[in-house]
Amino acid sequence: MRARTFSLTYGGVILLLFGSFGLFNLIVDPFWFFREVEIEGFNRDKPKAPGNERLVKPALVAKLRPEAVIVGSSFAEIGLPPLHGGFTRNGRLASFNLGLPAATWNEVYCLAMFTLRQPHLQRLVVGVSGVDSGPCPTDDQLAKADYGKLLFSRTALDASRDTLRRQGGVQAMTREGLWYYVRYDADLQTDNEIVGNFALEFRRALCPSADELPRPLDSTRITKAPLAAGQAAGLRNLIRLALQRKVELVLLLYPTHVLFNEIVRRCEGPEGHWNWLWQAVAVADEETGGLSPLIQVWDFFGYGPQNTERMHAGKPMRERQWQDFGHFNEEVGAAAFDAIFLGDTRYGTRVTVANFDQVVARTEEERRVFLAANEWVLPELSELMRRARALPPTAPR
Amino acid sequence: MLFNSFPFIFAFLPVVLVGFFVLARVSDRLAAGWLALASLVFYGWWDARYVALLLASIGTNFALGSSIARQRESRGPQGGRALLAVAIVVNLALLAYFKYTLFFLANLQALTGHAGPLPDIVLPLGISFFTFTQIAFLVDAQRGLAREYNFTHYTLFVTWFPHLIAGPILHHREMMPQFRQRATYTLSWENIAVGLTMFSVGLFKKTVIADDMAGFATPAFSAAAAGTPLTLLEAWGAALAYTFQIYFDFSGYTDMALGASRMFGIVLPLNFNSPYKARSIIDFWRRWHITLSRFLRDYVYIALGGNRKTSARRFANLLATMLIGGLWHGAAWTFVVWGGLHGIYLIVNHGWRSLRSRLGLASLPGGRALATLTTFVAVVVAWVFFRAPDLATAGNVIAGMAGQHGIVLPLHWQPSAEGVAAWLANHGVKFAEMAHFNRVAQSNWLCFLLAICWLSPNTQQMLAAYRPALMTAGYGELGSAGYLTWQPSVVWLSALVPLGLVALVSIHRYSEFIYFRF
Repeated sequence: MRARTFSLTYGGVILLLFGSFGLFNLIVDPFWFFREVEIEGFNRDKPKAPGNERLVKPALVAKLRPEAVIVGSSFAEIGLPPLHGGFTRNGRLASFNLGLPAATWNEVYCLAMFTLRQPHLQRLVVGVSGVDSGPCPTDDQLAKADYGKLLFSRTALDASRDTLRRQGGVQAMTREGLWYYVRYDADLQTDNEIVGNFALEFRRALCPSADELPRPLDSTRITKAPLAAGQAAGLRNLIRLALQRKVELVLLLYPTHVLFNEIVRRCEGPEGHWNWLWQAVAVADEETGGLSPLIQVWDFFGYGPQNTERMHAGKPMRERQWQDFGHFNEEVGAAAFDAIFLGDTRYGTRVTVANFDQVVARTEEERRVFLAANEWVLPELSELMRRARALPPTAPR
Repeated sequence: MLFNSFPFIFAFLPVVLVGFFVLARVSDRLAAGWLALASLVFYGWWDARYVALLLASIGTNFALGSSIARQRESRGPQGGRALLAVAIVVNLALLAYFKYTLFFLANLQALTGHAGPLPDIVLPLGISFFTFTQIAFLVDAQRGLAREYNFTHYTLFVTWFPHLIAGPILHHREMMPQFRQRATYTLSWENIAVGLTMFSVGLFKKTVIADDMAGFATPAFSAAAAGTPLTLLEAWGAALAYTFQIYFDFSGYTDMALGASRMFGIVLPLNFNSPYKARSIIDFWRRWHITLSRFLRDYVYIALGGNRKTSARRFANLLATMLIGGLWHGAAWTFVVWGGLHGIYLIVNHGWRSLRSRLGLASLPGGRALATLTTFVAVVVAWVFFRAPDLATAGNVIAGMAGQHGIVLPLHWQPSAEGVAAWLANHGVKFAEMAHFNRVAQSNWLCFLLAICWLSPNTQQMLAAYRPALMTAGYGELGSAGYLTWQPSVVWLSALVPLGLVALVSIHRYSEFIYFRF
């Protein structure tokens, strides 16, 4: 073979195969970025979209230009339904869930700021788990899709192959970015298996004083001193930008399961949640000069029916409200959105400086009543701690 | 711009290649200028501000080199020596400022206990390489070895993009004649085929092997840096993974550099010749980073007196040369220790050779294999210091390799070891889940790569019939690759296409070449 033939054939074949490779990944679109071809039974289900959200979701916000967006960690990604009628004004707002698994507060903050700067945005729900701010990537970096990885990577090829193989099963994620997580996991259906899943999440929250009964709430330990100008810079920036862009901003404190509440109460003290809720409320009050219809702080901590599902509920995972004590399902999120956007008063509270003390007192009373009426809580807590402590240090999920 | 990136492979390289041969039809000078310009664009892609620094360095060194050569011509062999000293000081001062200021200040602060803010100095990419390349030119100018002073060619010699960032460190006398030759400016399909082959193999080594090895080495070294004591298997796993990561990273880079250059008809010097096959540390340095090794030999070791004085002085020169070599790689004590270790290895190696020859000891059966293994282990131990972010981390890994943190075997192996379980337990061996050693993938990769490094011919050997690299006297020759000898054939094409494709689709994991940091 002549060197010329060798070189031209090699270059030509590589280009051809490489191009075909990209075209294949573009058509299958395993990460749900291009959205050019969607055929039932071929590529409609995207089992590999979860886990690759960081690759596409921020860029999709720039590409799809949704008007109503949810930003947060996996709690938001799994639990807050982007197609909720109240959230989308009965479908009039194009919506998207920009929740990312294992997102830190700073990541959430950066994504929320990025989303707030998008021209079409009208409504933003941010799952709040912090108040400060740190360095962020530029908007260009966040909006830029890595086409090399989306089209020409081994990751994309493997994901395309899996996508083709796993059609017709359980949907992993919706077009709008809601992730089902382990809700339909066939290996996680019995109570025993589900408690194991709770224990995995629970392990992180355990502390030496977890076994002790918590002391009662001491409201004098809730620090309500005015915040210095530099404090809670993340929330301040979000609120200021939302006001400037005239975007409706909901700062949402995630629903928390009672077992989580009880362990936090033992480890961080009964005032922990309220101290940081106060910061959020106080900042919102300071930045808006009182009440502004655009900025709302909503808290879903508490002991109401949505937060008190038993681990030993005798129900398969798909029918449950909670997948573990941190990850609630969309039914809980829908109840939260009913409250925020449709005025349903049965769940959660819009918290302000004015009603803060009432909320604290009411929740404490709810807790007292709930614990008195539900004797299963303490045994479940003990069981959970036992299971969590028995886990090997690096047990795979 | 990285060789292992789509912009380089699908835009920069083809455009520069086509432009070069089109312009070469008009004028060689124009084509050489195009390559120099393209090389500056390649460099500026990283940070355009440092192009000015590179150009200033080139302009200054060209002017100084020309003056030194004129002085030598007019005043004889001693002419230009003072100016040479000034020129070297200027170059080293630039390198010292960018590369060693922070190191110096941090150590000074540690010594005096006076902590203060450190200046924000960004290390320009490839500064060690273009500084050393030009120091060699200046010395050659004073020695009367650099004879051509064409500014375009000189700029191209320094900036030539395949070597600019991470070597090979070029000699003026190797490159300038190639820039002058008419043949360089004529399209040769043989050069394209050889270049494409070398580039593809290099890309595969980098994106598939080296980057996979990094996936094993990095978490383990990070854990060690965080204070996690690595057990015996984890520590050896980490050290070996890095040993192969740096091998395939640098070997891959070198293949790509030689291949890219060869497409333009420009042959670069051999820089890498199966170093893990070395039977001694002396042999290792004739195979690993050959152009740095010869620079250190010609411009440091010999300048210090080499082996012309007493044995003690020779050993001191060796140690000093390797310490400088270590510091050249980076401003950190870990690199100093790495260089020092190799210096000590070389002293022991030379001492042993001399003792053996004095006692007239014959080779033992299996001696060659033992020598290769001993050399390899010594190199692996030294790489721990090269990789570790600080001496404490290196100490942690070395202690693990010595069994100081216990011997733990994968839990999965326990059933197979039932017969000796009691004996193992009595000797402190435990079975457990291992956080920093991948029982299957890592073990298989390490065994496979060790076999490749020890048994298979290297890229240049496979292409030996096509003069893939310039050889350096005293640094060995390329052996034959036997039935793996490359030729433009359907068989090679069939092998190269999947290799090239897998390499391309593995690019997405952005990763710089390790030697870009130096």
